[in-house]
Amino acid sequence: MERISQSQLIMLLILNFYGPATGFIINGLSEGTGYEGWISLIAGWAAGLVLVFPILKVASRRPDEFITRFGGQLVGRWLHVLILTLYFYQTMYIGANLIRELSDFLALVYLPLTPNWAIASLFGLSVILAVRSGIENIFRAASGLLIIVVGVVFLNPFLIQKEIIWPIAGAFIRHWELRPIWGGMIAAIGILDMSKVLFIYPHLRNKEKTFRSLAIGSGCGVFMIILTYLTCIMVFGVHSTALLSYPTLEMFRMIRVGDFLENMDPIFIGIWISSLFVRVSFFLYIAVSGIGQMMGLKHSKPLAFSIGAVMIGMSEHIAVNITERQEFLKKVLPVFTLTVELLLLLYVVGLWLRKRSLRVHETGAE
Amino acid sequence: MQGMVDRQLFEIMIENDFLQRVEDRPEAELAERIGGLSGMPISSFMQTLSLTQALQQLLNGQMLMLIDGLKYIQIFLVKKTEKRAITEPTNEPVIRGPRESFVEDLETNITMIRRRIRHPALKTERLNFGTYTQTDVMLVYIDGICKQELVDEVKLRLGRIKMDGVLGTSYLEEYIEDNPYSPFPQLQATERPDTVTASLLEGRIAIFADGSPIPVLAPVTLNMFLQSAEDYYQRYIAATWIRWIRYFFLLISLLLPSVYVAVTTFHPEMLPPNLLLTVAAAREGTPFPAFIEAMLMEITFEALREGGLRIPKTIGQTISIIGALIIGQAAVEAGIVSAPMVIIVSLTGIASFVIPNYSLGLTLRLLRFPIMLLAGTFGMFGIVISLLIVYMHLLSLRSFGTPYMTPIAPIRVRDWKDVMVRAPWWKMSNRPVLFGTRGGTREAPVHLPHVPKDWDGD
Repeated sequence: MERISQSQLIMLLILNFYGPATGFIINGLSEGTGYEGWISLIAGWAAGLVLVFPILKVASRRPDEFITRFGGQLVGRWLHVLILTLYFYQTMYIGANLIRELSDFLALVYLPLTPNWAIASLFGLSVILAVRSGIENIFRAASGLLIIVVGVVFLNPFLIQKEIIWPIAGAFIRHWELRPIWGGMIAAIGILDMSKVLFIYPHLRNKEKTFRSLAIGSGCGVFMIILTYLTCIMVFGVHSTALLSYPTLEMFRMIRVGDFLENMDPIFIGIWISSLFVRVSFFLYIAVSGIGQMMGLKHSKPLAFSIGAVMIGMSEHIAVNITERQEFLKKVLPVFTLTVELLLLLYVVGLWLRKRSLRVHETGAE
Repeated sequence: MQGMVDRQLFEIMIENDFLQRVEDRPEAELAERIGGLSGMPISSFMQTLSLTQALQQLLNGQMLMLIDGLKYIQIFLVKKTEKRAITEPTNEPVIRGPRESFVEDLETNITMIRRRIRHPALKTERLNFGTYTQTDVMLVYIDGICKQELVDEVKLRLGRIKMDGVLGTSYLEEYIEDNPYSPFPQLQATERPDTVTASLLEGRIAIFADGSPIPVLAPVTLNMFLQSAEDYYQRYIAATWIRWIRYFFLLISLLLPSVYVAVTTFHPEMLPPNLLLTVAAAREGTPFPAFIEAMLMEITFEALREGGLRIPKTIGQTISIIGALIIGQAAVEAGIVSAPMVIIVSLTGIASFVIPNYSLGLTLRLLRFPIMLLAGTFGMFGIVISLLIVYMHLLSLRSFGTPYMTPIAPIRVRDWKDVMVRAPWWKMSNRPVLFGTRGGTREAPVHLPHVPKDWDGD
């Protein structure tokens, strides 16, 4: 059962947070928070950790059992089913949304004549195959890909340094406004959602170090997002970054390596897609295994194709067009994610009540 | 058994004793006298009570003698079969290493290993497969470095095999692989005794079969297929460089035609204007899209390669000149294919032979086609997705319990010394960690020679 090391957890978290964050939220973050985006991210990271701490306590009560199996004893069966249904719906929604964002982006930039469903299906197929090969392999994939992704992230500022407008850097420490930081923080908590670890907790080795790994993994991920965010703003400025649909891609496009290759962006995008792949695979795995456990199945693997197909279908129908989807992402999704994450705290309450009643019972018996 | 008996030895036996008149004696004494006086060394003579064993020995080429009234069967070990001499390895040649390769004879092969590892811990276990062929198979390992659990696992898997004939180790290989449906080889085949010896010293296990000059080694990881025996005989800096060249050309072999198709079809903006113009000008007159062109050329190249193997050597050169040069040149001049495509296909062809292991090279050549299809339909995105699928497949593979991508994923930094680089021998202090091997220290820390401080150079 215990097949995933803490270092593998750290590596997956880094990719899990970096990929989608740099691809799709830089413009939104820039629009909402401007120069204070990096503070929002750090604040969101800290708040995310505070939120996940009690949730981990629930998992550590029964380290070898999945919450999907024993959660009903804490909050009552029906509430448990309701929470899990919402949680897995949200997990699938975020996975579907990422597939949709990727297919929208590719159809817009590289494959104008290719239908969205074809792109989504191909990506979805690779994700389903990853899920079928098991959680251990998803984590291993992350550890192998991390070297390449980190290489690109740290190479990027050096490759783009000719385009950087250095005087902008001063604004990062001069601009202070509390309200945008607060809004950005709420969005960041949603992005840096670490509660998924609850559903793979029995697979982890050295469980007592899980919180430390979460802090390190998400911290490194946040650092990489901030690095990309700051570079983007220093290249385009706050307003242009907010107006561009895909600022990170535009930044990659500006990289010139000598005179040999004009544009390196397809290669960078390829590497970036791999981090997206890790996140969507992880999310689909959580949904597949969770739903399988809810249904009382011994092995959830056979569900991978059907639930994966539903996710691909969802990706096509979650919004009519890019504008609608982006509006939803800005206004609804952070609140939705946060609400679902907060619902998990009910287990903490359930655990506390259970402990209390046990204590009362013991005292009464004495 | 005519043709399997040492006639010379047989004749000596006849001359010495068999033709002598022997007076009436008890059967046991008679048998002893014949055995003892037949002029044969004691090691060439044995007795058995089992009819099956006697029959097996007869089929092996030994001589039986049955004496009326005696329950023992006398077996004279007079087997002698023709065997090929030890020659230079043809598939895995090296510049500086030993020039020996295995032969078809099992005993000779085991001797070659025993000559290299003179230690009582070297164990051999004989098994027998094939209802009709009764092929001898030998498991070879070093007790202590190779754990018993790996030996037991190999024996367990081999024990399930029931077939009429085994004509080579590849017959067994397909039965005992962890993932039989994968295109990737999961056991390492080699014809070099030094490669087998080095693997045994890492704690791996070798399976030899009589009649096959190519034993297989287990467990294996992907990077082992990219290590050549030459790496360990050349200087480590050069070996590291060559190893990276190999990694690079592995990617070229797998991806170059696909990248060409993707870039020319979907991402022409990646190319600098001059190069783009050159490619566009070359492709202007060609009737096919880049993808079809690449497919045509690659399949033609595969046919040439396969033809090259089968064509008799005397006309091989002529055919390759006609195939590669004349047809290639004519196809470009006729405007059927573009010149850059010929370059791409040739480069890919060369790259596929840079990979030291033939089976892996073959697998990559096979995978090139679906990747080209995805590159032709989805561009770089298709290539990325196909790479991710291949990567996930590689991650799911195991060879006798060892993850195939070890030590890259899962990461084992200590074992990178023989993957990312070829560390000098004095740094290879630990054995790689594989399933069923003990790992541990290979050598004691060493102080390298250095110039004494008080030495002034004279």
